[in-house]
Amino acid sequence: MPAEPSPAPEPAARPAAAAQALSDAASAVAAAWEQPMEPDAYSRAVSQLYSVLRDLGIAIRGLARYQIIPVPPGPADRGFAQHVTTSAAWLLGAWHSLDGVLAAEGLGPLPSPAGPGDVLCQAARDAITAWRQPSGTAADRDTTAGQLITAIVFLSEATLSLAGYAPRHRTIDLYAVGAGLAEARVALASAIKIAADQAIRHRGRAATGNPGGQE
Amino acid sequence: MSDGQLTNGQRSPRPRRHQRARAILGHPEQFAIAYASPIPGALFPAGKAARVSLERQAIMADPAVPEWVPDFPPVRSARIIFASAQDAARAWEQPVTPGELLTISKDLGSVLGNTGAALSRLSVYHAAYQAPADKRFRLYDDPDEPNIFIECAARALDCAGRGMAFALSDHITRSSQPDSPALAAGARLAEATRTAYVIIERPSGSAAGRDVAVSAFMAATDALDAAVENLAAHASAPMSAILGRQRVRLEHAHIALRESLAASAAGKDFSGGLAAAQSMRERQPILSHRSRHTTDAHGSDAATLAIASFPQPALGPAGAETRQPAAGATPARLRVPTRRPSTYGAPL
Repeated sequence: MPAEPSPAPEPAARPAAAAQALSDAASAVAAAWEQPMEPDAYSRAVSQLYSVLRDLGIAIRGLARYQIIPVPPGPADRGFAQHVTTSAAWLLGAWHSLDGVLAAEGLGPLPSPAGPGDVLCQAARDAITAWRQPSGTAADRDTTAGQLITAIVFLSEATLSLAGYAPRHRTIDLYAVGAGLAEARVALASAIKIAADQAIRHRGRAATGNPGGQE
Repeated sequence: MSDGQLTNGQRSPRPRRHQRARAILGHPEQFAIAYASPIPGALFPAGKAARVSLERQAIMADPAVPEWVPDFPPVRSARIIFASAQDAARAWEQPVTPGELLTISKDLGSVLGNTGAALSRLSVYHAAYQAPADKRFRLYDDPDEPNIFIECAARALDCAGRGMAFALSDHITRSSQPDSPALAAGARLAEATRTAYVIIERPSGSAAGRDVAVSAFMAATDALDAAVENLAAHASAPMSAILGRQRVRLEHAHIALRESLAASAAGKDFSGGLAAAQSMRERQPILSHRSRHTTDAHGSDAATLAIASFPQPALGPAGAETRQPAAGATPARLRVPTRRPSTYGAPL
């Protein structure tokens, strides 16, 4: 019987690095979107949020297939995959909440000068590729998920900032996105077994418009 | 009240994905403002399923629709739109009166919305998963990823349809020239998109088949953009700006469809997908007729245009079968060949 080819060697840090880049970009966006913007810049920010939610939802579905190396003994634990898939579903649901928005695709090289939103779009797009075949140690996996939770916290802050000075027809959509992000974060926290009460506290803060700090 | 009839201060609750899917099982009623269905409404809802089924069978067996291999419903759907959009582009090269422009634009709202609804149906394409023999690929292929981008394209066209309906909601659109070729082309295009919508239902098949259908819809979107471009050349403000906005949305839809192909290619790529996705993007120019205008200004090479209009699908064998030139196809004469390198969309 011919030997099965082994998966491509992936640097263990690659998924975590993508998560770190996402977290950094989301932090910059949260700061940049805190202040009111001109209508054009605002429209672009909403378009960027739309693209990021979609791409993050796709990317996190890849993370659900994380392969722990070395393979732990015993039956495979499907809890992580289920919680991460749930998180991705919440993000895609949040994406659906933004009705009538066109995507800012974040393809190709960054525009010059690149705004924080441009960087975040590209980071989310890169995460799709980086998490398409994730593998590493259990600690790496949890670090990646932790960074992702941080990124979602910042994204919640940015969303609520946008909602604060949104046109009337957009405000409800953005609050719905905020709620979806909170649920996505709780699901991710469950995936890496963060204490449930801690996750619920964070969810409560996000739902009341005060997403709080990092996990 | 339909979405297309919303006014400022009125807002329908936006359906979640599953609700949206249910909403499009029948006709795209929300885009029936300018185009009345030839099917008596009294048949709803009891005879709806049977009626739609019969209609679909009739369309698929219609000898007037040119055969195209592979000829499964999503591909035929795109082909019907493509052919009618090319006819409309030709018809709209001729001058149109302001009254005709208004009526055609309302039809165009139906066209864009119905095309979006057809793509919504395609976005739930069920590709039966067959585990590849090579285990390396089993981890990476997410069958839903291309569908998400198809849905993104559907939503862009849904925006376009609603945008047109909203912009023209205060206008009466009966023209005094019922025999006008431009008006007839608009009505035929609206009918074609409704037909295209009807024949897609619960699409399923192989992933390669979905890619072929996506390629065909890219061609249809390209042809629609050419038609809108020709129409916009006769428009003055504010109609020219309204049509210009719909062209941006068509461009977004085209980009999203290309991303669907890129995602499909990346999911099958052992090395992680970046190169495969990029290669796919490079093979599929965005709205190729815009760039073709510069190299084929006289529009004399119909076969070349038809081949180029249906971009090469992701997989070889199916793609080879689909690249049949459409006899008699002639290109739209285009007037705005340039495109911004990086376009951001905007909320409605």
